[in-house]
Amino acid sequence: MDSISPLSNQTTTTSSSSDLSRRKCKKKSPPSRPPSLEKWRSEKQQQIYSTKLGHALRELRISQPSPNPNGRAVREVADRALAVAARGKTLWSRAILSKAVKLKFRKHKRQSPALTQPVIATGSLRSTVMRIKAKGLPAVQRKVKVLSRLVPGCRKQTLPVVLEETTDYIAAMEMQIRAMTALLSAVSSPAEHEEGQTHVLG
Amino acid sequence: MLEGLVSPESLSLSYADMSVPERLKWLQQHQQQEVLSLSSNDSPDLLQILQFHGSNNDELLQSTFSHFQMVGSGFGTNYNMGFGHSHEAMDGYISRTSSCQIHSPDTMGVMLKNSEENRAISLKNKRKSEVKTREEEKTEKKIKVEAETESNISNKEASSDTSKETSKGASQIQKLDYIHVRARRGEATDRHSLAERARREKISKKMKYLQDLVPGCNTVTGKAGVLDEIINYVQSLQRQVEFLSMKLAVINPELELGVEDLSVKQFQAYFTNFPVVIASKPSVMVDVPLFPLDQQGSLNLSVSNPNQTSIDAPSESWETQSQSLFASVLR
Repeated sequence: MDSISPLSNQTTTTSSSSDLSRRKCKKKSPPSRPPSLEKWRSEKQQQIYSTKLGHALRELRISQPSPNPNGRAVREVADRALAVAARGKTLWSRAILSKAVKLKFRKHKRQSPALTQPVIATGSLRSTVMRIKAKGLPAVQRKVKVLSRLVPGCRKQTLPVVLEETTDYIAAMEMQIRAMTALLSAVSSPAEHEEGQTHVLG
Repeated sequence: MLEGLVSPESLSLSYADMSVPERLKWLQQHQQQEVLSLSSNDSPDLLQILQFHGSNNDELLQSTFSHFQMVGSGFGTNYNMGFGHSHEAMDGYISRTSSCQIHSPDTMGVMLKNSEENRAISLKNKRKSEVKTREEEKTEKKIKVEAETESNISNKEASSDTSKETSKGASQIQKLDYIHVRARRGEATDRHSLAERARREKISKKMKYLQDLVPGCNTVTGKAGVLDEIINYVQSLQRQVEFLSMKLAVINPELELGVEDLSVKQFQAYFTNFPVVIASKPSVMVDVPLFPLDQQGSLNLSVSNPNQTSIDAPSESWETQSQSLFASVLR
């Protein structure tokens, strides 16, 4: 696409206007996003995610009444809600959901290890990331490995797959953060809303 | 004419006949002007190319012509007429160049021929026979050598000689089943390098997307730096999510259901700047915990009703759902 712009130099008079228009079009097009990423930026998707997250949090609170749901559980819930919002079309979303399923099965079989598993997961994640970064000789390769470990479900994937999953994952996480901040700000200032005034959030 | 330059690779188009019309249409939409300018500027090059091709590949070219005629029949009579022209003009170089002046109806055909021609230019510097046979082999492979018209045309126009101009690397005209790779001049045209080049182009395209997405990547050059930035960004995003989730966990007990559903409405206000309407029914929300919510308490994750938020929320929440998997996972 970038190669199109030099073309405009050789326009004949008859085609100059259309070339100009095309030149404008083409110059705009290079910073284009794959359509799958646009969906993560839409308001609709954020609302979908917010409602799902709200339901999930309510469920969590009901199912875990006595211990305050710790941050990790909330994070798992949020990630799972995000994975569902992705509708299972991406590797990372499927990996997150299958992780939850496996956790559930193991929980049914043995109660205790289930609690420690999330701890181990995050701990090992950090350690492997650091370890891989240490031997950075084939630099690009190491970095790709690090990245593939960061994105869930991409550990043994090839580079183009990892890159694609990363783009989708980044877009999804940005939306997740936006939704969670909105939720937090909405919840943390309830008083003004109960008065039901013209106050508009944000 | 340029039609004379249809090379054996175009035989492979028979594999993807459906893609060709799409491609041709796309070309037609975007390429008309280039064709015009190209045709006017490049007669000396064309002559060389025609000599090259005319001496060797008449039968092959004619067969591909017939193929193109079949393919092109959908595009109207002018298109075929252009081909008919070229058939007659197979012998005469000059007549080929003159038929090159056919404008809009022929643009698609000309565009395709330009592509072949450019490939021919690059091939010119290699031994013809070997290259030809190798290319014929290539047609069976999924990765085809096909022209990428715009850059080729620009190259042709920019250079007075063909010799010093390198045609551009692969860029996909249209995402078809096949990966269309442009053979560079001076580079090997064997399958492996072509495949590698296609793969590299795909990867660099994806890296460009990522660069757009991650802020601050534009300053860094090189894959390693960009990857570093991406890694840092992903880690920071994950940290942010953890931080926010911890905050949410802290206030979660205080998160009354009414308030929460209120806040859902606030989301809409937040997003759409509507004035806040506290129309939710707190009394109804209070009833929710009284219901015997089982494990199958509803996590309607697959039911997407994005715009029905607070009012539908209670009704959904006490239906037993088949999303027991998800709900029970939470427990």
